[in-house]
Formats: sequence, C-alpha cells, structure tokens
Amino acid sequence: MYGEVHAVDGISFDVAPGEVFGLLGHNGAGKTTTIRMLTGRTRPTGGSARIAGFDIVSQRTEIKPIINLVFEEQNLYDRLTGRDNLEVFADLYGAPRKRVDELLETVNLVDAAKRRVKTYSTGMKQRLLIARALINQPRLLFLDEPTRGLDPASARDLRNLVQRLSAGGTTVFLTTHYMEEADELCDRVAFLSAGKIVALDTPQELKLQYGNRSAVVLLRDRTEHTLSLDQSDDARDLADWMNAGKVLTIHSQEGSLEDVFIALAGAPERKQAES
Amino acid sequence: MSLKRIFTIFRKDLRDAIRDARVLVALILPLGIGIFYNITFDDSDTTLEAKIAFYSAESSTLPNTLTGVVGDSVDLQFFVAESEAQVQRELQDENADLGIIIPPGFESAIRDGQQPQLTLLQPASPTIAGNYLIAALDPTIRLMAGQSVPAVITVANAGEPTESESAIDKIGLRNWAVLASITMMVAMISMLAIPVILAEEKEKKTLDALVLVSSMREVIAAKAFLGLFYVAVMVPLLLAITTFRPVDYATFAVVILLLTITLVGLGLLMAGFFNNANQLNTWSGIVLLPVIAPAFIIGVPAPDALRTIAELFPTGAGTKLLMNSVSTEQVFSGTALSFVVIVVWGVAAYALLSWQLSRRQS
Repeated sequence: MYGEVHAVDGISFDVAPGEVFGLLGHNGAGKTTTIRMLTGRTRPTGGSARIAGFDIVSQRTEIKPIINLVFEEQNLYDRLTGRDNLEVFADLYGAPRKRVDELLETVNLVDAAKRRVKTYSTGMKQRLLIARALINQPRLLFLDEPTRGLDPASARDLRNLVQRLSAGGTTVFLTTHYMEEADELCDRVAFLSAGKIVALDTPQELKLQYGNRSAVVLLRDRTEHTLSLDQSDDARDLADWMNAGKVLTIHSQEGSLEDVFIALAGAPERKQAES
Repeated sequence: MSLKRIFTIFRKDLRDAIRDARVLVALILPLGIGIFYNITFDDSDTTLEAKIAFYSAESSTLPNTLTGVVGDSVDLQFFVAESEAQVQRELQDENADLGIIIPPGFESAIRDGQQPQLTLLQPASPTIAGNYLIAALDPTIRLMAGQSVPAVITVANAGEPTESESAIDKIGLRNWAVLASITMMVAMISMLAIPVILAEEKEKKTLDALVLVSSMREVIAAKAFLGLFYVAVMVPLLLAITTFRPVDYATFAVVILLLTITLVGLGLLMAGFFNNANQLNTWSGIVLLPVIAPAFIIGVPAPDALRTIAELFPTGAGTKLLMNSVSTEQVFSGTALSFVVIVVWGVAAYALLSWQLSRRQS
C-alpha cells in the first residue's frame, strides 16, 4: 500500500521452474510494485509469497543469492568501467572472476570492458545490465521493461538471450509494455489492472478467448472486406460470396495480445478516467 | 552483516567517488584552506634576525655580552670587518642592521669610568632589529663595565585573562586556524562528501542494485568506513604539509575519530532526506554552516551565550578537545563534558539512522 492506495491487491499466481512468465499492464498497474515486493525491496502489507519455497519476507537471506533483476533504469556506475561494474557484483555475490569474462563474452562487451560506462550507448548499457543480472547464475531472473529504449537489433538480441536462458532452465519473470515481445517470449502472461490480475493464461489461449477473430476477403472486383468470424451477418456474407465465386483470396487473422490488453485492461486514458 | 560485502562496497566507493568533482572539492577545499591559514598566520617564529658589522682594533667581549643581553629574542650574526671603512661600506650597502666601531682601549676605559666614545652606524633606512640592538647596548656596556643592572623589571597583567581571550594566545593563531581547518575538513567529508555519495546512489538507483544482494545496513557501514578512510588520509596529509604537531597525539586521534563517526552518522541521516546529490550539494552551504561555525567560534572572543551554544555542537566540543591536545597546558576545562557532547550527538544520529533504515525497509 502507498498511503491509501492499494498498488497491488490480492493477486495470486505461480510460476513454474524454467517458465517465462509475463506480467502486463498499464503504467501504475502494479507491475513494478509486484517486482519490488518479490525482490525484497518493498515489504508487502499483507499476503504472502514464496520463491523456490522461501518466504519473501522472513527468508530474504536465502532468496537473495538465487534471484536477480534487470532494472527498468540503467542503474550502472557510470564512472567505473564495464568490467569494474561486473566485478563489484561478482564480489558481492561471491562469484568467481572468470564469470565476469564469460558474461562480457555473452553480451558481446569484451572490447568495451575497459571503457568507462558513461561512454557506452544505451544498448551497450542494457547488455551490461543483463550481464550484471546473470552474475550469480540466478534461478529466477526478473526483467523489468528490459527492451525499453533499445533499438530493434538490440531488442532482438535480448529476446534471443531470454530464450536461451529459459532453455537453460532459468525462470524468467518479465514485465513489458510491448505485447509482441510478451507474445514471442512468454509461456504464460498475466494482465494486471489497477493492482488486480484480470486474466492469466498462455498468449495463445488469451488471444483466442479475448481476441477479435477476423478474415480479410479480397473479391474479384478488387474490393477488400474485413469480416468478423464471430458475427453471423459477416459469416452469411462470406458464404454468399463463396457461392457466387466472387472471392479471390481469404486471409484469416487471429486476435493479438494488444487486442486482449485493450479488452481487459482498457486504454490508459479510460483507466485514468475511471479511477 | 557481511564484512566481505561491506569491504566490496567500500572499495567500489573508493574508486568511484574520487572521480566525482563534488567529492573532490569537499576533500581538497579544507586542505587548501588549512595550508593557506598555515602560511598566512605563521606565528611559529617571532625571533628577530639582525646582522652587525663589527670592527675592533683589539679583542672585545662586546659581541658575547650583547648576545647574552638580547637572549633568544634576536638571532644575532656578527660580520667582523677588517677596517672602519669596511663597516661603513656594509652599512651603505644595507648589508647590516647596525655597525659598531670600537676604538682602541675601549674596554679598559669603561672599566676605569673614563666614558670613551663608541661609534654606531645605521643604514639609510634604520631597521627594527637595529633599533632594538641600540637599546640593548646600554645594559651591555654597563655589564662590560662591571656594573650591576639597576633594577629588575617585571611586567604583569592587571587581571586574570578570560578563557576565550586566552585560548588563541595559548596555542597561537596559526595552530588555532589549522585546527579549525581540520574540524572543517572532518565536517565537509562527513556531511558533504559521504552524503553526496549516498544520495547519488539513491538518485541513480544503484542503491537498489546493491540492496538486491546486500543489506542497507551494509551499504551504510561501507559509506561510514569511507568517511573514516578519507579523514584518516586527509588529516595526516594536512598535518604533514603544515608541519603542525599535536602535543597529545592520543587525545587528538581519539577526538578526530569520535568526531568523524558522529558527523558521518549525521551526514548519512541527512542524505536520507534528499532525493538527489545535486539537491544535497545545493543545500550543503546552509547545512554545513551550523556544523563548521562552532569550530571557528571556539577560541575567538565571543559572547558567552554564543560560545555556550557552540560548545553544545559536536564540532565546538571537538575543537575544544583538539585545542587541549595541541597545548602543553589545558586551554579549556570540561574535557569530560566535551566528550559527552560528541558521544550524545553520535548516539542520537545512529539511533535516528537506524529508525530511518527500518522505515525504508518497510
């Protein structure tokens, strides 16, 4: 709770080992608060949560070595070199120094390792943040808006890395504004709205359940029509065109996670107006 | 708390913070002020230096007698000329403060009461040392003539000096100024450099990354050690440059240690109220004023009420103790009370800091 506001209110979910779990929602929906609570930086006012069987409040010491977080902010030590940044956290976690070399290689920063971080580009800083978050080989990795501000190539690299981590058995807890990213990466996603989970399932199921199923029909007279597959009138029109031999092409379109997001969480303006 | 993690964060701060201009200024400024005061208020050597061009046709006891009369107050150098003309040249060239030409038979003549002639030469622009020596010649010649000094003159103060009036007199202006600079140095490190480092960690959210693996108390402990380290380097550096030497090293070191621990606690507490380092830097002038001012008020003549208030501040109490540690005599009384003042401030600071940390974690 922040004052009288319930930032997160009675949410309940579990994440399986090795799963990529996405938490989606508007700004202020409670995503970052959820991560802050799970990573021990904010004490929940009620309820309970466990990570690898350890209570997030009373067993913080056991949890710290097995989790890590890629922060939303690029919170690096700008006046130190990339290598220095990693070595500080390697020492804090008790990780061997060779782990630093491995990670610099993994995120392709070997050549820039001796440069001060303030000379890095946004993409390089983000890669260094990821390297830092992997320094202790976490069983559970939190990613808070990891691709925000990244160019498409860097974002693609990061998504590939997440997929590799997941394949290697690391559990990933992701928050993002980018629905395509969540769709591509997440095994399951939860939609958070005003501090509550309003839907939780695989992206596929959610799209089928909440998405707008449609078909784009191109007729011989070169006119294009978008028909909803859930509307009986549209289905009748399609049948008539088919019988009359007027149809040139049909492209079916399933709903996107963005549709689901809009349907469940609503547009940000609407949510603000409601609140 | 893990000492290993505290040391890791301390080492990181050591490498990172020194590249921050705000921290550098907080370290270098009081060092520069201390050196400046040391040069400006150099009262360590008040001995006059005087050179006498001296000619005597026969051996004379005047140089030795004169040296005995002026004692340590004048550092005398005698240039023994080969002729009266050489004495004159030395004075014309302003190579000497005084020229003395002793005629033949001078010493036997004064012993016989014949009142012989003694010629003194001054440069075109007479010097203070030369005038002083002329005044000293009369008792010198009386001694050479075998006369005893007609009276022993004693100078006494009309009343007992008050504590504040005598403090600087007792330890010297230079010592007082350098001591005040040392207190200023401890204050600027503890209440500017260290809080800036912590506030920057908050501002840039690097603190969040640290507490993901360590505890807030470990981070705070590392910053406190950094403050102690800076003081442990900078204070001896200032002492070395100024050749300032405490009489009681143990008391001096204990006071500096206690003062640093207390002020670092206050500084870290203060850092909790600022959202970013620049904000803290902007307000630092106002924050530092009541911390540094007591160090300067102690020792100078000031109204009793103001001095009492200054003594209730850790820097005021600390300066009193430091002044005692640089003098062979006790400059200020109430040593135990001054220690209590510093310790009470320290305990209060760390209790509040602990409360602040508990609130932050909840």
